Amino acid sequence: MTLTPLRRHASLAGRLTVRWLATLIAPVPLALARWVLVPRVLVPWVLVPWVLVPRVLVLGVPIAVVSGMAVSGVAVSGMAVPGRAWAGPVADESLVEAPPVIRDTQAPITCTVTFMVTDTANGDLFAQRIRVPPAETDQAVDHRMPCSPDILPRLAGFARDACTIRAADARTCVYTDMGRAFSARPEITNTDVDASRCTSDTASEIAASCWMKGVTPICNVGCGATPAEALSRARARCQDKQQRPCTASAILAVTDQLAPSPDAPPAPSAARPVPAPPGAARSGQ
Amino acid sequence: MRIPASIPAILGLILLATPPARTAVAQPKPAEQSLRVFVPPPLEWNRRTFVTNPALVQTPYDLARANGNLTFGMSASQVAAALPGLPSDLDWNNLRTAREYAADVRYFWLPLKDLPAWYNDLQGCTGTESYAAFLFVRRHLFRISFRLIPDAACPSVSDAAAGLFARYVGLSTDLVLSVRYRSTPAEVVDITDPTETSLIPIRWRMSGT
Repeated sequence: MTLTPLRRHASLAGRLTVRWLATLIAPVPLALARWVLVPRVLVPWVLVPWVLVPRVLVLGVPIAVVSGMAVSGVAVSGMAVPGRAWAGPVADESLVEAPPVIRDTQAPITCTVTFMVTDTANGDLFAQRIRVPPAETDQAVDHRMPCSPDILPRLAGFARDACTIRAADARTCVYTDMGRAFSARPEITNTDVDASRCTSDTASEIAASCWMKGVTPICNVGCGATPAEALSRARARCQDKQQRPCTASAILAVTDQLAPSPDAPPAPSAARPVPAPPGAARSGQ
Repeated sequence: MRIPASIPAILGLILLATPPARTAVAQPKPAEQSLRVFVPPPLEWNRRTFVTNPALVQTPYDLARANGNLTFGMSASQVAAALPGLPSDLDWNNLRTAREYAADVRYFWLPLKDLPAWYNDLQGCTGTESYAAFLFVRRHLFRISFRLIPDAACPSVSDAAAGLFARYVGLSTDLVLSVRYRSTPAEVVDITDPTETSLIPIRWRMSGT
């Protein structure tokens, strides 16, 4: 329908008038609705205006109140279930609770290199984990990101700092895989930095097997897929290197990340053989 | 029936060749000793800068949780309010001077057994003379020094010292520097504010106090 300019103006004026009147009238039923409904059924305060205003403008006060009740009834039917929380103050405890950790079961394990370092002054063993973010070209193998061999030598010094920063004398901090001469000359030159680490792409556990010279453990390190395998390799290496029974030990997971879920689908992987752990290669295991 | 003369000789040879029954008891395998491993927070390698950074974000709240609600930077009266049995008027002006420091460092001390936030979690014994010193510089707490002193009832305090040390090793060195050392016959665990760089290397010597 085509409106003449006058009618158009009249229509516009009428609509404005309706809006103006609605603006005046709307608070009345709103206040009434709030007064009637809220104390009785505990409707959330914000529901009342947004639900009722359009109906008030279009249909008028009585329908607004009725529809408001209906809406409130719907709201109440959902809220009045025993055990549900009513609108109101929230307990402080719920605000400070840590959010649940969501585990990505398909994410491959980031390369983690774990070094074992010993403070010979008091016999403390440190295990420093260092995560190496994947390069863009890296692809997971069996849910594990590869540990690039060119980065590994750069990490040893940072790992040793875990001890030096906590020791009275930095010179007493050495790598945990020790040579035969270490017990006589306890110097870092008598330790093997590469054999003192395990990488998460080839091993899950790192173990140290030691004999005790006073308070100082004289140790060698082994890597393995299981704690028993890692300890077995470490002990064999220790008894081979040190030529004596190694009866003290420590075992730790290489990575502190969660292992992939067994029901997770395999991640895209590159066909690449998994290299043998460094300790096993040297000791011929 | 006649027995051939050679049979007893053969039987005798068989008996001689048979090893005697084992009479010695097998030596027991030496017991496997489990060693404690201290695990600092993980680091993350940065491919651009070629250094490592902390892989976890920790805040002073993490230190306070491990440290009896104490954090570095607190005043003596704030520390005293958080500890049991200390006078409420304790402040910088009535602290003793710690002579091992060249700077104006002051302290008060409490027996370790009077510090339940630490003592109740200790593994192993501590000598009755063991104590903790709370050290302040420029009116702020910058170090807590746990000094474990063995005695006849507790000849080795190593386990307790290692347990105290372990509480702090898992915290980032941006928050706290923990050091364990010997000052014969005592074992010392110091935790220090990492921002007080000039005071970090200074150690306590038992004979010097």
